[in-house]
Amino acid sequence: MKRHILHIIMALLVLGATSCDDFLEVDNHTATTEDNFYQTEEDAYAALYAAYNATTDDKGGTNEFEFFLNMCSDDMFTGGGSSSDGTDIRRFEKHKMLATDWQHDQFWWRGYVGIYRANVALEKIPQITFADENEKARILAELKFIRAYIYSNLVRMYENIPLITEPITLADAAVGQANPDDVYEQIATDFLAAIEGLPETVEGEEGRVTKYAAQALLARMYLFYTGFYGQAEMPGVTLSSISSLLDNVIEDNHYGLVDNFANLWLVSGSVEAYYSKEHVYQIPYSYNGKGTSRGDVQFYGLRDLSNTSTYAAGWGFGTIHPNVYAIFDANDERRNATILDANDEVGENGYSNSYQHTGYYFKKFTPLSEFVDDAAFSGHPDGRPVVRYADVLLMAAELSLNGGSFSREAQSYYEEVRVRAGFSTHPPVSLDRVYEERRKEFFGEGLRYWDLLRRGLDVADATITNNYESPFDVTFDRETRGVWPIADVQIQLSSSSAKPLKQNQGY
Amino acid sequence: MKKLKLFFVALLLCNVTGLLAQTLSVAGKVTDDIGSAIPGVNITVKGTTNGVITDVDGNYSIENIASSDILVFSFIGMETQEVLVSNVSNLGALNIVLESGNISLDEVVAVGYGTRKKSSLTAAISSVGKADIEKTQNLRVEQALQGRTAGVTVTSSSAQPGAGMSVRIRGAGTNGNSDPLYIVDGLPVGGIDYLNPSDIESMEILKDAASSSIYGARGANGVVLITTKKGSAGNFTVSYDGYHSFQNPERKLALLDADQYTMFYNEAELNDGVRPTDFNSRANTDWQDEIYNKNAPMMNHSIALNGGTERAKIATGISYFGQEGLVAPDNSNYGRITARVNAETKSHNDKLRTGTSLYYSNIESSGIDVNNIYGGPLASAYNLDPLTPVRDENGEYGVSEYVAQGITNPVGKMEYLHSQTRTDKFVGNMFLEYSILDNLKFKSSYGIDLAYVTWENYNPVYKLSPSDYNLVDDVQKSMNRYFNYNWENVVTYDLDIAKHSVNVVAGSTILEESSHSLWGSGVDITKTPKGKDYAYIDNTLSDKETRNASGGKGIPNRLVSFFSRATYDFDEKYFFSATFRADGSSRFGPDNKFGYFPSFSGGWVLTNEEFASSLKSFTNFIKLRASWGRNGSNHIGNFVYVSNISDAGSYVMGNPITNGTSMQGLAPNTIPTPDIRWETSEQTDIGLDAHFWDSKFTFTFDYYNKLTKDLLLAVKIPGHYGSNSPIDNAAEVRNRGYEFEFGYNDKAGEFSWGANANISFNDNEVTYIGNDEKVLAGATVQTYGLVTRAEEGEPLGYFWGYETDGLFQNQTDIDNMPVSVNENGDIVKMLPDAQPGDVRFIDQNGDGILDDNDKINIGNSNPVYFYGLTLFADWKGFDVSVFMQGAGGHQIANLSRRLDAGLTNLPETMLNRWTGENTSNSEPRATIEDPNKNYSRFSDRYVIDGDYLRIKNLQLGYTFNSKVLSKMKIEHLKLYVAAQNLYTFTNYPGVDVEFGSGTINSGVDTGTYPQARTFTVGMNLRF
Repeated sequence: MKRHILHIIMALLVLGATSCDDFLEVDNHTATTEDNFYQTEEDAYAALYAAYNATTDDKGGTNEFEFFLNMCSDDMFTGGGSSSDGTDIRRFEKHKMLATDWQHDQFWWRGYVGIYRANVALEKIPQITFADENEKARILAELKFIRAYIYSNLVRMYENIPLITEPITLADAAVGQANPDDVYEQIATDFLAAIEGLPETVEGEEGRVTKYAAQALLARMYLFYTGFYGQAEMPGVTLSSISSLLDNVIEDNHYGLVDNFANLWLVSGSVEAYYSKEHVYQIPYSYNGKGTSRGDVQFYGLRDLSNTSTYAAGWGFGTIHPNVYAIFDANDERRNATILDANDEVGENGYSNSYQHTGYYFKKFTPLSEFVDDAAFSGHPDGRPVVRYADVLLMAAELSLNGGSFSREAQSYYEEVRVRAGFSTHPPVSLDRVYEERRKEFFGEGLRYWDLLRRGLDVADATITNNYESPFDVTFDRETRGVWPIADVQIQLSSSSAKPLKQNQGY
Repeated sequence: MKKLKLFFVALLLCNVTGLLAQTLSVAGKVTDDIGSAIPGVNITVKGTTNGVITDVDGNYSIENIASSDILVFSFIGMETQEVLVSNVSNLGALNIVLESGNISLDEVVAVGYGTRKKSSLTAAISSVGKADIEKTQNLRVEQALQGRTAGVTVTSSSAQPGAGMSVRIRGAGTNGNSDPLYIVDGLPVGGIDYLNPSDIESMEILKDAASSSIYGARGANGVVLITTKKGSAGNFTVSYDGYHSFQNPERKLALLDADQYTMFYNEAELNDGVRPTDFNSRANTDWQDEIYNKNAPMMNHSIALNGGTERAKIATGISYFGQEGLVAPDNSNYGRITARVNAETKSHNDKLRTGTSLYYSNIESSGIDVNNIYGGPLASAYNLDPLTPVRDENGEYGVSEYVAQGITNPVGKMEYLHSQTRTDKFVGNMFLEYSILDNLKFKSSYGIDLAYVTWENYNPVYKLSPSDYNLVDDVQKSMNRYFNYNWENVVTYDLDIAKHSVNVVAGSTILEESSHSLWGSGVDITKTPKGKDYAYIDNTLSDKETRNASGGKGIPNRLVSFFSRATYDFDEKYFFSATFRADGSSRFGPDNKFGYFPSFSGGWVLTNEEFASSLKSFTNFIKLRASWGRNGSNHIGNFVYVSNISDAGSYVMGNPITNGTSMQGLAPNTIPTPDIRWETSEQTDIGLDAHFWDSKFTFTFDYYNKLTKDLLLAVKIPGHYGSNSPIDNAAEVRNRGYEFEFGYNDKAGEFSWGANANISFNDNEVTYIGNDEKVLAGATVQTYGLVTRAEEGEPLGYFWGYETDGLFQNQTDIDNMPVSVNENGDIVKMLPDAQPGDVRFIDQNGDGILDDNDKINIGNSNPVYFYGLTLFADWKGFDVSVFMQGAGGHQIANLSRRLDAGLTNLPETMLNRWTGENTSNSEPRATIEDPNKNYSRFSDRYVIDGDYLRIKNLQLGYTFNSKVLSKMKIEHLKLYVAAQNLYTFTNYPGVDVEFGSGTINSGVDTGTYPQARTFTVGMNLRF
């Protein structure tokens, strides 16, 4: 009997001895963790694409932020199905935004998801060995570009934002809001560093950024900072340094205007609508699940439209006032490429009227039958032209008029844009004429609102506040200075930290 | 040895003397209260050693007795009965019915890795027996626990068919998963929805740490031991249990009708200075009526076979349960088929005992979104305006002109939902027990839990509103396989020397949970006709771009454990027990894999002391208990100690319209928490068990204090971390409270009656939070913001919002509101946009500014007390029982109204709105723009007392006389009618008041599934 007991005790011991530690180390065949990631070049690329993905995902719920900038500007009205459709979007149009509107929460955390992805990758990738170290430098430069790009948007939307440039841990709860100057300085630092590591061309790899994109975006931030804050220069950038960077974009001759303005938009069917010599920085979307699809395009389409050979139905948002249609000269080729005169193109009975109906819709981005009717359709593919060469030319004209040093005269940059629009005679360039040209050239591309804010509160107020009758009436809220409210949820989540987020003025 | 001889001689003498004096003999049959024979019942002549036991058919015959003798019938788990022979009219047929008693002191209950006599327990263990389970109709196993015992809170937060119930033992101390550990026939299982309630023999709830710490790592939320029915020696019996029920919603929300709706909103527009809308009143639709399934059927049929010999016993059964949902009968339903075999053998000189139990379940279920403010037919039915018709003049589903943002026609929504889950689950367990010596046993058991889960979803082409449409139909299907095994080896040693009794258990287990998954999708069903019946990936567009698949293997979760327990009894008076367990889990980082879990307990039975003998007629049993122990929880995912890298979307390289390729992005989804470790809980329990008047009245009391340390919590973090909520050891929570259980049983002639009542008081408090802020964020609800949070000194997950003080009645009230001075030196009112009729929010800190600093604790979702009451009576075959359950002292946040969806329908109470001075001090004026944020500020206006008392079950049954039945060869026949959720006493206006509690996010009502009021007819038959 004793033998039996012995056997059992031995059996138990053997069981215990099947080294617990080995049993408790589970093999990780499928889960990728920080421990087994960031080892190879492929890992570095996957981390880079994750950061790029964030630039396609800067949405407030469904729509990219430019959609909301269009509503805030004097370009568009909300429209939609009825007075109760998109009530939150209408609050952007009316400059009566609420901190509880979900878009603000979304822009905020989606932006910081991108920042986190860039920060982690920037910390980890330097340890990876590359066959070609230049390629590593390029990826790091792209990550800095993406970080600067996201901060550029967040700081203009919310002004007082936390500035985070390293992977954050739970222990770093008390970040607090940075002085906007520090954010602008970081943006300058990142773009300048990016310029060093980025290539001049990306043929075959369209979607990745070039050094010229960084130079142009830095110029845009310079113009915004100096205008909005009334400063002579931006932290880290001087008038002469930025002029030289922008001049370089033009003089290196990689870019030019496409001949026909209409060809820049998918509705034209032109191959130039995606990556052409005019696209300095274009964010790509896809219609068949290859990447993120674009959200706002569906909003711009005509309501209850029976799909024509060109147009597919949308939700009737973004109606355009006849007075805005009228700013375009009848000879201006940009008018009919920018604005869809619905009664003319599809007929009064071909679609349903929107709320705030005018008959004019936005044409650069509109649902197209070509894609919607494809079985693989999962969303609209229109790219977001963040920087077009036309913008580079007009920024050059503006900086030149402000005393910057350029290879060519301001008049010449100004005329180049006008010639493409179909004009043969040109008045002498002035700042006001540059701004007017910018409005027509970039209508609906999300530039207008911040172009107005950078010209000072008086201009923004005078332009945005209209004396139209309801429901077209808009009054700019000077107290907010045009800055958006920080989401209530975010303020609450940080309320217990040592440095709680403070709501922006006027909300 | 000498003494022994003397004893035998004495015995012999007794018998001889007895033989001389007695001449009578008595015979009969002993059955239980449902008429089945009980073999092995002890029948003794009181005061003598004369005795017999019943045979396998329950028959007995005893001789040599006198008419003045008293016969004592006793059996473990049954109430002992005494019969005076002179009172017996027919000595040849003295048939005895033994009442099964949960009050019996000799009852044996399961404890972890063994059994104990109830009277010798030193820990807080409650037991629910077969008789209790059969007393009411139970749809789910958890329901059989509901209200039966103090300290166990069972609530259903959704009455959707197949929806789980929340079981909380002594409050919730953990945030991750507060469900108890379920052990079915010794095997830990993930959930118990695969079990048919009528297959259950008994359930034991291990409440305190002394009893549950033998399950160490996973016992922190308490343990429920479930024993399924085993074969018993005797003739084979076949039993049938069945019922058929009709369900209707117990209550509806009181919402506005078309006239009230237009009136309210027109008034609101006037108040807002906007031209009133000329509402297009196309209909007066009651959306709730439109989506409810009237008299939704539910049924259960089960057949079981039971019998065998002393050496080989078997129990088998098969059952079907089907339930249609109250909403969306095609898309919210549940069907379950179960089959089981339980077999046990004894062999090798009775030294070897083996057993196998196999359980198979097939579950088909489909469901709709519940308690989701954004989707699903329920949220739409509660929010959609009554002016929209179900179908418009063209026969299309009506589209609302006034409500948007995903709130769409719920009738249409139901038609377009096609999602179904099919589960095949096998649970099997095999054991082998060898008696090395009479008192030394070795048992090895191996169990598996295997589940195949197939999920299918089909989105047809539809358009319900401009924002809710699908242009191309699509199909998804997934197949997942889950496999868990558990191998356990246990040695048990018993030693009895004189009055000393020792029991030692030692063993080890290893456990692994693993899974495989496969998922695929396709779009555009090219086959005609299209539709649900053709919704398979094979029928979709065959195109590399649109056919997607993914598959993988889950990270195994492994646990290695060593455990031991020693108990010592002295003379059935003093009891001591100690346990120790070490658990190693693969989920923790290299330095934190093992956790150690000890416990100690003791008991003292006062009534077995000499000095208490004089009290016997008053109290036959009093025991004092005390225990302390430690438990753990590892309810977190794998590899949380490092960041998991996951799909971070993709990015197109090259022109997406032509030749672009999709590049997959990967990034950490949460920030890492490298030092994450076991969550441990320490619990002290002091208890008292007492029986009075020969156990007619029983009483149990427990005080407990449970401290959960290093609570594993998804820490909600501000958006600028750019990360999902990581899990960390972030807090300490204390639950302490009192539990009382009362039982009363009495009998007069053929009338017997009784009552069981229990009440538990629990106080939940967060005692520590491991961040600088001492606060953790909880639930956020869109447009209302953060509504719950945890904070040191407050309950886990309290409602955080503004306190209000009625309404501003007039301009004077407005003028008197607090003010502050801004940067420019201007005096600014606290509520600058307030008008008479708006809500007066309270400035808690007196700074004249209303902001988050003025938000306070405005309610708590954890009930302060929870109670159950069962009343029952039997008379000549008729039985009636009522079971009621209630809770109180807690609140619910009623947030089912969507503020961002346009002109949603509103609760009827809003008709009591303010329309002029002193017309109302609670409902603010009608407004759409809501400049004062009366609605969007989360305030105590939304937080409503959740007190309730619900008549859960009322059952009336009749059991046919066994004499009549025996002629038809029927052993037992009972017919019954029952009603569930007959009535609820509550002031809560939401659709259901029963809410799960115990997490930081609990108690938020965003549109739930109504409870069913059910009427049932049923039958139990055995032959």
